[in-house]
Amino acid sequence: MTENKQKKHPQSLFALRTKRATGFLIIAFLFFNYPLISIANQPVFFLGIPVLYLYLFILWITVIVVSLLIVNRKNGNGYPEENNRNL
Amino acid sequence: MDNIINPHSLLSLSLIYVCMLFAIAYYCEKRGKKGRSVTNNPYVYSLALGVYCTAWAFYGSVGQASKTGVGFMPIYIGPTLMMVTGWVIVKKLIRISKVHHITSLADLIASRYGKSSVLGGFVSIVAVFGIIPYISLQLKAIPVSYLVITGKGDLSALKDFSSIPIYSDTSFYITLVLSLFAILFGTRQLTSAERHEGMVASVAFGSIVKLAAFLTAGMFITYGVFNSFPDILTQADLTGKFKHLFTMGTASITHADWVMYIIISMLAFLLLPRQFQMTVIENMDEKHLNKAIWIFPLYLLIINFFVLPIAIGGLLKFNDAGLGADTFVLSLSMLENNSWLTLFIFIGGLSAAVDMVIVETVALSTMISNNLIMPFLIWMPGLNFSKRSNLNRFILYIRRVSIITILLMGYFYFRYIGEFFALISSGLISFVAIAQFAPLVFGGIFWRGATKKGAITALSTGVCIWVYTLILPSLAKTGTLPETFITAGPFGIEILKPYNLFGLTGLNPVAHSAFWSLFVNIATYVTVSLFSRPTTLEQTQAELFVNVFKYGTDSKESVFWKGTANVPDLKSLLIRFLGKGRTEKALQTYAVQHDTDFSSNPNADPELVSYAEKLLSSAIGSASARVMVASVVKEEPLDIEDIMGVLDETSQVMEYSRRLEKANAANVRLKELDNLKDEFLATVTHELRTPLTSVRSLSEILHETPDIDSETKKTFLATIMSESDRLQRLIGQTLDFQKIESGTVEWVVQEVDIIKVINNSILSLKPLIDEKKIDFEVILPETSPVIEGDQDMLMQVVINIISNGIKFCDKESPKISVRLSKQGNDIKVNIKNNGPPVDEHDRKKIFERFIQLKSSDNTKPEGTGLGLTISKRIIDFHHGEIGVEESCDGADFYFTLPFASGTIS
Repeated sequence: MTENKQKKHPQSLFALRTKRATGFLIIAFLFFNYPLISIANQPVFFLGIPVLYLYLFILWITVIVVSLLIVNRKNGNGYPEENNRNL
Repeated sequence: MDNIINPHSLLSLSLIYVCMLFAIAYYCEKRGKKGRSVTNNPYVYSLALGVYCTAWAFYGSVGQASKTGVGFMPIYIGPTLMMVTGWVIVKKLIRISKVHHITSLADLIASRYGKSSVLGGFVSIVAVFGIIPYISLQLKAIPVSYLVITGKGDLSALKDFSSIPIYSDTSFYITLVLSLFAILFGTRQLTSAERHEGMVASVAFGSIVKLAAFLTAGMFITYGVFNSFPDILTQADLTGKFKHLFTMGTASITHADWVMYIIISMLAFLLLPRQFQMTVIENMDEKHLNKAIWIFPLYLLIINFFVLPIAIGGLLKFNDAGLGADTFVLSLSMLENNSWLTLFIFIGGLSAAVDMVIVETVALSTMISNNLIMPFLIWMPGLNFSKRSNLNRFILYIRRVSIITILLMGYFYFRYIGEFFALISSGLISFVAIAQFAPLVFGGIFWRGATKKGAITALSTGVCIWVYTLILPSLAKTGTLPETFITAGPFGIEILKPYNLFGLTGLNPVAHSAFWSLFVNIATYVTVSLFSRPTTLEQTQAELFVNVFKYGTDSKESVFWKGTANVPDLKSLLIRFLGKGRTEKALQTYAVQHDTDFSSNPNADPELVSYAEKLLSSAIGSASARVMVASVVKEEPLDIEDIMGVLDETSQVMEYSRRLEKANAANVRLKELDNLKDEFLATVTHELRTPLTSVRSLSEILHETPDIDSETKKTFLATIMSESDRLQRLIGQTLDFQKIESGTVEWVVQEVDIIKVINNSILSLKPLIDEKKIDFEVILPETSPVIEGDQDMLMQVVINIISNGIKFCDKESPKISVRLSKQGNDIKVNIKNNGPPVDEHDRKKIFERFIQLKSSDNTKPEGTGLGLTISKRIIDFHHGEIGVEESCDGADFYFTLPFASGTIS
């Protein structure tokens, strides 16, 4: 079994990560744009801050945290890993 | 405002700061040369990416926020998205640039599309002219902040820069000083692979300074000038004048503008010459990306945190959303009447501008010299450029002159055109120009079918639309073109109005231009590529770029040269561009690595030729390098089948080496076994020799002394017989093992009564047991289920384990017990001796071939070490299990056998 896993073609692993990154990009991009952004696009204040800014900054932090989590994933499932040979 | 700062001390402070940056650069470069690099560090790398935040971010974001509210944010959201999700692209670009010795963006594009000098030159020109507005805004930011701080705050004077004579214009001198520093930072000497460690270190330092300065300003303004973050916003809300700043989708920034801004800043983040330099060229280790992925977006987030309160605060205090909004950071913090604070913030803005100018001009000068001037000089007929000597100094001079030229162009742009724009618009004009490279780059590294023709047409059309929709209108604003060009369209043709091309509305001029230029660019790129045929070299490069990970770090580019060359020719070519020292060193490295000697073999093989080409391309760019190398090589044309064949081979070689690694692991295991076998042979021969020796010597005595007494004779003969028995046993065991291992043993499978087997075995060992006075215990049930198997073999197993127990059991009070029990569908035989227990670690091992455990006194036990292995094989054959139970008061061996069910064939 393990033998099989190792033999998995190196290209497909990179392709898989490309797909994941693309997926994440599309989702994040959608959240940052119309129409989703229009939900927060109200002339309303929350805790003294316009909700649009609140939405954008919280989204921004979320994107960073998610990427941090993915980067710190151990073994071959995460983002760039230590062992480049396996790309 | 009485905290006005003396202009002279401000100027000297600025100079001191820049000198300090240079000192950092100098120190780090020295350390790097000694191999103790400061910049080979993910944090420095991430901070150096902060060169993205220029004076535009420092001053212009506030200006933008005061006009459009959230409109400043897409410029930073774009790079965030690019970094956290687009690292696949970044990683690929880094890898390609390392493998192909890429020196700049122009070089990358030229190399991808068949090492085309034309394309490289074209990209360089677009980059230079595209970036000039951007550089000019940095040059503008410095004198503007200077004027604000020295109290000549009449900003309307700024509108009239062109009326000041050049020699009395401070910004002219600032430009000159900056070019001097850029030359010092980037072009003191020709570096290999265009890395500038010192520059990276000073930029990373500058990133910290500008972040600290901006945060300090934000804190003082938000909590000093005002009470708190919500306080500013509530005050603004109460006036009711700034409602448009808290939402988007209005005329100031529409949703469509927002999307276009995010897209162009995503592209610009990677493709701006200075970003490409920092992200790709200066990258020392791909792993650094892992940290940069989140540190850099975090940096952007933090530096943008106070933009909105500062902008609103400025609007509340100064009631001005015009040109002055760009300097709110300074003018608001001056309200604190703390000149140190003001100076610190000024230094932050200066740092942002200086870093940008230095890195940008250094990156552009590499492009100009490698992809514009060099190919041109090499191509120029009659110049015989390639025959000249000492070209490496010449390259440096080209770069220095380029730096000065670029900065002067930036200066004149801001003097005559840029004054009509706020900081942010000039920057965005550049962003749109740079975005035109995106299809070429991203298409180039992911799509093999893209061709040079497609690239050139796409870039031309994109740039034409950029000029038409952004540059020409700005000329109309300066009065060079009639105003009606914008309002009514050229020659009154309504449909061609530059800000509403083909009647498109709903976008601001920048987003409008970005949309049209990128749309047409991509469309032509795809269409022309699909309808044109790439050359062999293009196809090769496409394959090498798109599948860069398949070919490993050192693709065998030798495939491009089927011809031969003279080593002296190649060497003199290298010396001309790299200098003698570097050439000799590089060739020596090659000679050592490939175990060749140039003095004995003057013919350069294809590999050496491609090595030389790579060296050369790191100095003068890939396109020029190819032309130069071609001039000394007798080349035979190759067709694409040949090349693809070799490339295929390369990837097969990679695959092969990967397998080889695995094979190596197996090999290690084999060697281990081999050692064991040697040991076994030694043991066996030793075991054979001991009885043989005694047989031999005893028979010799009997033979030579005929008068020996009969009593002694009898003892001798008895020993000879027992030793012969031992020999026979040993040989028999070895043969058995050999038979079982090779599978030639003939099993006699029949119904077996295991109780009988055990009793017979004990019977045959009876003499030995009695001799050693072993306390022998047998616990057997009356009857036992019938099993199927080879009776003799099973007896051998029992005998092996019992005699093993006899060997190892306690010397003082030896004890062995045999037990038979039923366990599920198996019968189980336990044979326990009271010798030393078997370690958990050894429990599996002892059944392996040739393994003999050392006894406690470290002497080698008797026997071949095969007994247990043979037993295991026999039990395996019977589908049973053999092992050692966990026990602390002796070694408890067991084996199980399934009831008869016809499982044995």
